Amino acid sequence: MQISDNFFLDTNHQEYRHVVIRQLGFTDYIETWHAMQIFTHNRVEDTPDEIWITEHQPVYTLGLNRKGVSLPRRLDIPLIETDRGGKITYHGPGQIIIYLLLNINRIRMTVSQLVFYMESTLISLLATYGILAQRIKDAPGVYVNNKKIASLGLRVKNGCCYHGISLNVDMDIAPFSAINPCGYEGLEMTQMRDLGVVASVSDLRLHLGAIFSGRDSMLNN
Amino acid sequence: MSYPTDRLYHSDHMWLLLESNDEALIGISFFAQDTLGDIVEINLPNKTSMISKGVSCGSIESRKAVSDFVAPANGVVIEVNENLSTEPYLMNDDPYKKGWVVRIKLANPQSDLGLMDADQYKKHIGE
Repeated sequence: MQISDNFFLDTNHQEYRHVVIRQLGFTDYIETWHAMQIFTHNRVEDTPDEIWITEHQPVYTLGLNRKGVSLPRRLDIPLIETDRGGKITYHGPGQIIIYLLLNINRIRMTVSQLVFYMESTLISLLATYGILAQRIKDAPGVYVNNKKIASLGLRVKNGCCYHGISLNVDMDIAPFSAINPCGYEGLEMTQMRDLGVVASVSDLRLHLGAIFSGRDSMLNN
Repeated sequence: MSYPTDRLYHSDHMWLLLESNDEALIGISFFAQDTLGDIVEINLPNKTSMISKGVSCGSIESRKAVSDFVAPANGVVIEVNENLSTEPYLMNDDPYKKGWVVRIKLANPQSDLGLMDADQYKKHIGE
């Protein structure tokens, strides 16, 4: 045990690389997005992967897939055109955002596998709160009773990704009704609070940090 | 996985098929479409635009992730596969034929393109 504990703590071990978890609290969408672009642009072969856990003030974001997207039916929330995959979504207080700054070539994951892994991680996390969540074929994300609870969007540059996944915890989900989330008309959103779970973004933040930094995490390689 | 020997490959998983009149057809490799998963959207360079080897000239979306379409050679786009805008899955189903992406006029047809043959590419992707 002692040996494996040391091994776990040895971040310089040549065959073991820790993912760096940054708990950012509330951040500005545009500042964080630009910081992710800069991080990805500047990273080199041995730059450690990072996960940024954050929360944003109300904002609609429009991904690169703009075909057939209707703009929000309310104008009191800013709309930002961003560079992730997917169509339109909403971020706001009470929703936890997990940004993934990973060298996916180095961790030997394909885009499909990374999406599958992130969905699985959130499905297991929700199970620990007694929520039975699942995938829906051809519609990436995590769902509970066909309502969406977690949304994904990624950008891959030179084998490294940024953007990530958001999970609705305890928020005002009304702004989602002014858009067709992810481009699907009539797709209903849900959140942990509406499923009877009393948890805060702070609880989730620590829980997720522990999952991603754990030695059995696929992101630690 | 199949890698036709009639064409050349770029390390960013693009293929290039030399044609007559210094033209070349470009697409993504079987490996690329397999690792990306179902392609749902593609943004291609416009006709007459110049593309540069190793530089992004468009994007491909699969599973909510947007990846770059990296040019395997220098040249000018002379034709775009218009079918991909309505049927992007052709790149998954038939990456070497119906799923071709653009046709270019090579900028330096006489010089070595510096690309891999099928065997070298297979080694590159660890097959």
